[in-house]
Amino acid sequence: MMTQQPRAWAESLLVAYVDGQLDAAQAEAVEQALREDPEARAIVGVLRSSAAAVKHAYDDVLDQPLPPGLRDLFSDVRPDGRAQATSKVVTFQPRRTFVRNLLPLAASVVALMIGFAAGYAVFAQSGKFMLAGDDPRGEFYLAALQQALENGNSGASQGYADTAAKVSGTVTIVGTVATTHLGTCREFRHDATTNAGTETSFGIACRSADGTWQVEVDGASGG
Amino acid sequence: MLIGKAAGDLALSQQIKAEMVTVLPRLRRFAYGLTGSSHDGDDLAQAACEKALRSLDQLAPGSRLDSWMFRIAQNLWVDRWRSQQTRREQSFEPADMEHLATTDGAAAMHRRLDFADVRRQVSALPEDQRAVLLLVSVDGATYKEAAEILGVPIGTVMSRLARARLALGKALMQETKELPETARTKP
Repeated sequence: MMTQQPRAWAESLLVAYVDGQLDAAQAEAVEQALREDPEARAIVGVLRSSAAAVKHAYDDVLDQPLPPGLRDLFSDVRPDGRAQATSKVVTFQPRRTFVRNLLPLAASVVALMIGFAAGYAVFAQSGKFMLAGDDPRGEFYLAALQQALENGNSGASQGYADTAAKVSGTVTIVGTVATTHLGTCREFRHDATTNAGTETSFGIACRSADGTWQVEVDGASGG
Repeated sequence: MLIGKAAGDLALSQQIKAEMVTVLPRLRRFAYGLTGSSHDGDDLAQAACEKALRSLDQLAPGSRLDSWMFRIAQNLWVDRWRSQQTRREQSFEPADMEHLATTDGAAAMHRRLDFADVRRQVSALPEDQRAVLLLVSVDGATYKEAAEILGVPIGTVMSRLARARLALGKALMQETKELPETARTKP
């Protein structure tokens, strides 16, 4: 359907929508425009893709040791301000979560395979990350996840038992996807059993340049 | 009394310095993005830290240390560094575009776009758009935080960010020679 009407949206509104910066009413208005206007949908796709492409493009300096000049400036600061990571798995803790916008994981893996233009909707939503020290899910889970990710074969699983937290579980690799911008990514399934029963969730981890695994999505409910 | 205050200031400045250390990785990443090279970025980050340490008394109580450090880096970059880099920036674009235009479509489709490609395209963006892009899409700042760091209205953040993301997305898609999904959609 061709429309000659003036656009009901502006690029800046679409970018704010993609970044989750609109309130509910504004977001609803944009979604309405997206349903009606293929051009708006195309632009949203581009805005998502570019966000995903650039997100980790400069991350290699994060782990590099400080150059001497910077180190000298802070030589009188004791290095214990930084929490020691107990696991090599680095988890993302999105500052803002947009479950509403989260694609079903299976669809997101397909999107990864389609490649750049299809857009990494899920990844564009992630916020800043922190080291695993803050992770509430426990080192046993993270260790099992690390093990399973390293093993890598589809179907590979690794169990763990966290007696202190009264939870045991299994991490199973669902599949591996080679992506252009995020490198090798693996989808995993986590079955966690507590007194309350077993809960299944899914996640995606991608290997970063330094060989560590970064969990991009975790805890998405199955189905 | 004065001695007590001085000792208190010293303890406070040590505490602030310890906090600054935790911001350094992100500050370096931001400066890397602004300058386009990790080496120049570290020089900028260092200059920003030196300036921040000299002006700790200007840090308003309750304000965010990371935003303050980012703002100092950004201002330094605009004031001092930009002119030095201008020539290099301009040398990027035309040659690359020419090269792309003659690239075989099928081969380009399978060419692996890596972060170096992305960084090169980000470097080709106008200065003000690049800063917003780095703050929001790399560092994860909210639009409000980015507006405060850059000292511009939120509407300006939004429009610069939209232009930056569209330009970057189109440039990268041109490199992959892929059409956006919706371009294949029948009306």
